[in-house]
Amino acid sequence: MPKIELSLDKLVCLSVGILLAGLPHWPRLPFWIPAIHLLLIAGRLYLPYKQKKFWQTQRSLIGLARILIMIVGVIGVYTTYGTLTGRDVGITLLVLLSSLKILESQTQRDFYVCAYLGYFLVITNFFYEQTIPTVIYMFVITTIMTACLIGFNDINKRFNPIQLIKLSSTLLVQSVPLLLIMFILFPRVNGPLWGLPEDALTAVTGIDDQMSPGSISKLVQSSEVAFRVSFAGDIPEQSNLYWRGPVLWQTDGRKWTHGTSQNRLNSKSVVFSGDSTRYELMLEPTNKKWIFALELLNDAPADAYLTQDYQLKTGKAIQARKAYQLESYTSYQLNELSEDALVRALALPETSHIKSRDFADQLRQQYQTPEEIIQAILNWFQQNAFIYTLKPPLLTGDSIDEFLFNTRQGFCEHYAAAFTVLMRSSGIPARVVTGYLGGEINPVGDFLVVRQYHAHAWAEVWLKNKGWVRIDPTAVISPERVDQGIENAIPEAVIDVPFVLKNNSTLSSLWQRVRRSLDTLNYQWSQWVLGYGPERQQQLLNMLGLKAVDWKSLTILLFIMLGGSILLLGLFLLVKQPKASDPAKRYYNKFCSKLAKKGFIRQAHEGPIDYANRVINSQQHLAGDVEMITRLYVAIRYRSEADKLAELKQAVNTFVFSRSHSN
Amino acid sequence: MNIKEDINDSSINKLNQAIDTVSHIILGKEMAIRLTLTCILARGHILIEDTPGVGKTTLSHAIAAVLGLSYQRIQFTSDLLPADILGVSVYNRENEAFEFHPGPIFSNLILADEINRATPRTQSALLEAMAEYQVTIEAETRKLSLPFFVIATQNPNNQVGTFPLPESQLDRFLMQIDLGYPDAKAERQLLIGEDRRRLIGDVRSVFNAEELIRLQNQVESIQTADAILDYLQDILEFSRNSGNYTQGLSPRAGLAILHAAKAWALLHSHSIVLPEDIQAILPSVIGHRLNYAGEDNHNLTPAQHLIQHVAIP
Repeated sequence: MPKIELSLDKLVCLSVGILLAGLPHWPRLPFWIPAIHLLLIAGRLYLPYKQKKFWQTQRSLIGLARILIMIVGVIGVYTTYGTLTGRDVGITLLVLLSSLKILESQTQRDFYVCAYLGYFLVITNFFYEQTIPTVIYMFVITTIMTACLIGFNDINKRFNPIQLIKLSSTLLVQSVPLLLIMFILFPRVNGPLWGLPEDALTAVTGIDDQMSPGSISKLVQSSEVAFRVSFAGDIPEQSNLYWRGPVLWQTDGRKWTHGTSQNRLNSKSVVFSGDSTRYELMLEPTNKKWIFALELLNDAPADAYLTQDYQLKTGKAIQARKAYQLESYTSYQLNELSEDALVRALALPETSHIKSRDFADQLRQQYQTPEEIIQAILNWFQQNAFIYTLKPPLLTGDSIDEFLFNTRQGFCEHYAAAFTVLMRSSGIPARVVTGYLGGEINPVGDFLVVRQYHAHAWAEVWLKNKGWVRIDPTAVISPERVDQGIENAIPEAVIDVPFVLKNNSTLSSLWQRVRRSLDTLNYQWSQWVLGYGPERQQQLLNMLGLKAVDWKSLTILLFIMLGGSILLLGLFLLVKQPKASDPAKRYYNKFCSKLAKKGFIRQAHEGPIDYANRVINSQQHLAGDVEMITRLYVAIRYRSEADKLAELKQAVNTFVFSRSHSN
Repeated sequence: MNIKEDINDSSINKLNQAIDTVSHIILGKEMAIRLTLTCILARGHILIEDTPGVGKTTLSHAIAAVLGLSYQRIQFTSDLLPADILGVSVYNRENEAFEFHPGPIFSNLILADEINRATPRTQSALLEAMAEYQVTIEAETRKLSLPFFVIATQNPNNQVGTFPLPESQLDRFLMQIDLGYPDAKAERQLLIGEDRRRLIGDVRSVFNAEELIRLQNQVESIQTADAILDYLQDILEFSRNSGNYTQGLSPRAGLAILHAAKAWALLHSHSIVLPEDIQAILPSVIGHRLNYAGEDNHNLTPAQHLIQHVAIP
């Protein structure tokens, strides 16, 4: 490979491309890697690239420095991570080595390698994020990298950087049809587009399978999307939108957990009434093994199962956005209660909640039926100035007693827990259910967005002839929370409008609309791009009239489509006559097209007489027509005899390519 | 097919007869003969680069003979001086005055043989005369006799004892052609035929200088439509901005192409210029003005490459 004089602007372009490709990784890398990365690239730019002497005399020195940096870097990475494999380590090494490669680049081959490294570095971003902005960002980097590649081949320096970028953008845009064909037809396997390694989702916010005072109110401060739902029919009423998550049975006085392992539901003891609600639920990755579903789910989807307390669970933690087709009934009677579940639904820690137990005993003496006791407690909540707040005072000592008889300020988890304790103390089986309540309707895409601030906790009590009945004590304290959603109950909890826009209704509504449109876009993106698995592919192919295509025929179809589209493009470029402004030229082009279809393609540089002679030489019988048309065309175009235009038009239109009889 | 020949001029007919005549002397070289006559019509000069013995001298001699022009041959050698070309003033004792003895340049058609064997000083004396149509000797300007036409030949530059013409001097030639070896059939005829020089002696002049000057003036009246000028500009543009060539064509080269194309059209009795006319003369007009940039790994000459890459608008 020849050494090339790489002009500074191309070197800068390449360096910037590599820097930008690695940039999103920086916060995830050990701090010294970006520092070295920057330093090496800056060094390469600073080193007098024009002074060949420097490179020749200092070659061994630079080589030594490179080897040293590499050894130190690899050792550093190993001490930081404790391993040399895995996603994070791989990317760290890639970033480190790409800057070393830039430093050593001298020959044309080196620069090619750097550009390819850039492409590779760009793609690694997919390991962390697959959002629309990421994709746009990656497209930009790819454009820069492609521009660099074109630049390396532009030996005569015909293009300035802006022209290079334009050219590479054109190239990328032209490749879009092929991209679409590949995307749609490439055989799909189950699972996300990009398999994520184990450590991908270590810190995801969301409902946990344990609850203690403050755990949900903390969650509510996040406006991240938990899941999105599109309903087949109407969206049910806000107060019916209880999204069931983990069911908690066991308490140590402060913390609620599920307790013993959950069993699969064997036989259903549930009676549904009314109409069912069908919907598609697109769950964001939670890294947990449960799925939220509207109360109460009829049946588990294919790769999930129902537990005895009607929680929907999966075998594997959910690490990528996934859609589930579900069907629920909002009115139901749940009768499931086994012997040992009854014991667990009444259990309380031995020595705790003294005051609460005393209070429960009083109630038990006062009222006969469980229904009466429940009503009494709810009334008591209502009459004793309990406050629904996101920022309750800190609870010390026995958290339930402290809350019920002292602070009386709490969020849903306080009420749910306290109510369940009071129930159990009164001898009524009860459990805590966590999940989400409500959701935000996106009118743009007509779907429901459930965010973390919709997190909620409520109670379920067992009544003899009614089964498990949902009691939401929060509804007594703050009816708005249930009926109108958290957006109205605690507006300050929902930070969906920036502070500066709050006082301006036009701006804030505009903000809302933009946010909703973006959310819709995101939803479609997940549904059709990230979630484009075998089912969706089949669905799309069905729509196109292709039924039951297996991966083999799909592959064949893919190649046929790819080959076909390239062929079409080639043919188009070959036969296409550029649109001419001169009418004579236009008619003449039409004439040429007619001949081109029969195999006589006029070369762009072929003059009219030469062309006519070529045609006549092999098609003697056409001589008259071809000669006449050519003569007219020449007269109009080169002799300015515009009055012959009509004659030319007619001659061209009536011209038919006929095979001679002798052929 | 042939588009209608729409000029009916007895001089042109005679010119074509002349081409036939010369073709019978220089066998198989009709294109070169036509280009040479085109060059004369366009008031240009022609440079023939080829190895010795392919008929350069015969060609120029034959053309001079059929056109009825006065002919001088100057053999360039390394000791040739400018005065040997232009002429010199000699003291005449009888008149007691200097008397000018015109050099060989005072003829209609000059064959400057092996021009690159002379020193640059001598070369430039000739080349200046070619550009100015006059020479200045001892502060006295003397007009050359019109029509004035130079056929220069040069040996390939890699031969021993040559002073290559610089680009600026090459530019003074409207065309550069090479003759090349004759094909087998022409060569056989040459071998069995009569002596070429004797044939030239038999040539009867069908033409005279006045007729030639009239035709030279008529070149100007050949029409060039906008479409042709567009094509010419596309050619110039491509040569400058495509990055394929070391240096683009100059405006002077553009004028040369246009003028040569007009002359070519006239020679073929056409009153308009067609793209084919431009393509016909282009290799010889720009062959010595255009070079590939970078490594020359093409199997086309730069001019052929240019023609193939510029679409006819």
